[in-house]
Amino acid sequence: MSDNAGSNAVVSARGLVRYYEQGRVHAIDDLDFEIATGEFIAIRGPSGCGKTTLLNLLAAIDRPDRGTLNVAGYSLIDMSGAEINEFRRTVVGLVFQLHNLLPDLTALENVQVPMLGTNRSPRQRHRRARELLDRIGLTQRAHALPTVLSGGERQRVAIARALANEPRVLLADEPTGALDSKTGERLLDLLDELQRDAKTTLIVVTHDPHIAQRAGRVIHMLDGRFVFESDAADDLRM
Amino acid sequence: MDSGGSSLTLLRMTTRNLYRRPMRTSLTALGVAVGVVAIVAFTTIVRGLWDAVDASIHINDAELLIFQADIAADFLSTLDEKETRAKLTAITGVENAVGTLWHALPVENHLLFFILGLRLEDMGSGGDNLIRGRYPTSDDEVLLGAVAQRVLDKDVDNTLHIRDEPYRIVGIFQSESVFIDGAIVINLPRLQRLAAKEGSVTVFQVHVDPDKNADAVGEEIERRYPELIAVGEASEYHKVDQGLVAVDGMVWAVSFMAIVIGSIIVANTMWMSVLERTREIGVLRAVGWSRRRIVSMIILEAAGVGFIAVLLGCPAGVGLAKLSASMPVAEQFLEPVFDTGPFLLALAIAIVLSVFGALLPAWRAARISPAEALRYE
Repeated sequence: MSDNAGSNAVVSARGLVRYYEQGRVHAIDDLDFEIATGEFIAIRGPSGCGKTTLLNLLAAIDRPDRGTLNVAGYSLIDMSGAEINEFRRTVVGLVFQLHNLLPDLTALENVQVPMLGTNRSPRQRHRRARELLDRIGLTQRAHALPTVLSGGERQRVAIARALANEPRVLLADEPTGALDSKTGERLLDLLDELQRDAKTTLIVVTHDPHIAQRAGRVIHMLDGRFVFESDAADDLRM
Repeated sequence: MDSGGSSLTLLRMTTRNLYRRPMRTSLTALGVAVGVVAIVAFTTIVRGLWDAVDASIHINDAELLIFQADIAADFLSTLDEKETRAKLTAITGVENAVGTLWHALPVENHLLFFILGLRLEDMGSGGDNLIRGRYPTSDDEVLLGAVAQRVLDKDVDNTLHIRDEPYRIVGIFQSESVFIDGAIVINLPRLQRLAAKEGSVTVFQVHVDPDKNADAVGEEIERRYPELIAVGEASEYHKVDQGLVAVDGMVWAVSFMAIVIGSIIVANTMWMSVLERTREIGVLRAVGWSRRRIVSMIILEAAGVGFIAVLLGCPAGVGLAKLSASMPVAEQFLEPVFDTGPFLLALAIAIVLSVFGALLPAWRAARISPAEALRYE
């Protein structure tokens, strides 16, 4: 796999392996890669190829069985519980395919959830959540519960939540998967814009060629391995 | 500009989680509230009983009550009036000793009513508790305690029948003891005849010389006369009657069982709640919540259930205690004491045991792997 990151790498992996069922299923099979700060990477591949497992490893919600994985200076192999919590809270932001907002909290409160446990005061948390909702155009929906928000609005709130603690890496798993194409496009515009403005590294797992089209690099996975890499223009031609 | 009124806190999240399933929260709280009702009702009643015992010991400013030793219940104490008085007054420090016979007889339409026999000259000897009328001067005159007056619905100058014999009510008194206030006071020799206990009394009220230590006098009485027992405080009452201690134990056993059941209900509810929220808890873990914070959230929810249970259970407990104390017979000797103690106790026990019930669910919640939880449907 080519190294586009050089010394500017925010993510680097060597010999990364994650297997299930006592080693019979290799979800991630000996991956080496680097991702530079501020890159927009799309990871594509068929279902079961290991995309989500890779994303979970990068988010430190799953642990590799072998190899090394460093994200923003954290070695994800041997972090303590407290370090893992801090990493999840401050280094990465996660956007899921299904928004996964807490149903009893308003949009404004959902955005504040990752900030609980940080050293921000309640007033600062509130202000930050307000800013993010303003940024994603949901000021008027701040006090709405997820049940009354549209699919696109929920996903925008989920993005705001992921950005709450100003993460260095934003990870998104099929962020438009549950949206219609028009809403999905708008969401991608937003993600694009936020990523450029905040110079956040954006890694998106997707089946959607439109997302890949916007990415700087597209990595194709099969059976837990990177099979080839293309840029967005190449990807469209395929 | 938003004021910050919607700042998210752990407490706010907890409240939302409780509010999310109002019926389930209410039913769980009701389960715990049963224990709270038991604690409040029983504790206020038992506290009232203990206070009444204490007041009975110190009736008419007496320092000691003297009973027969080795008896199963205070009512069974039988002392020879003349002989025991002589023994007691021979002890240094005993100012005087007043013999009292306790008995229960049919009065009006009550099958049994508490009757106190006191010599006419001893009535009012320890202070004036009379609130109406005068003290009896003959065998066929009686005093009524304030509670007895209410229960019998009689007053001064009315006639009442004890074993079908008429007696004139000449006065109403009020002491600090609900036991004594629930009694009819009659001339001692008359009661001894009615009870076929001529020459006997149940107990002696002993007034101790103010310069002497009442405990030391009590110990001296017991040392010199092993057939006698001296009681100076309610906590010593078990020496002559195990009933109150047994009631105390029973009350705690019932309250404990009710609370344990409440705790199991909380455990079940919180377990279900954690299972239902597996995915949400996984999300919280994925966004950086520590295990401790997850545990805190579950524990706070359980404490919230305990708190709601106290809000529901305390008024019901007060109601139950009042209802119990107004029942026939019970109204003669039950007077629940509603000070802060029972309520604080109920609050503490309800919250502690609700939290205890939530420990296992909280442990399970803390063990949820975010990667697995996010796959959970």
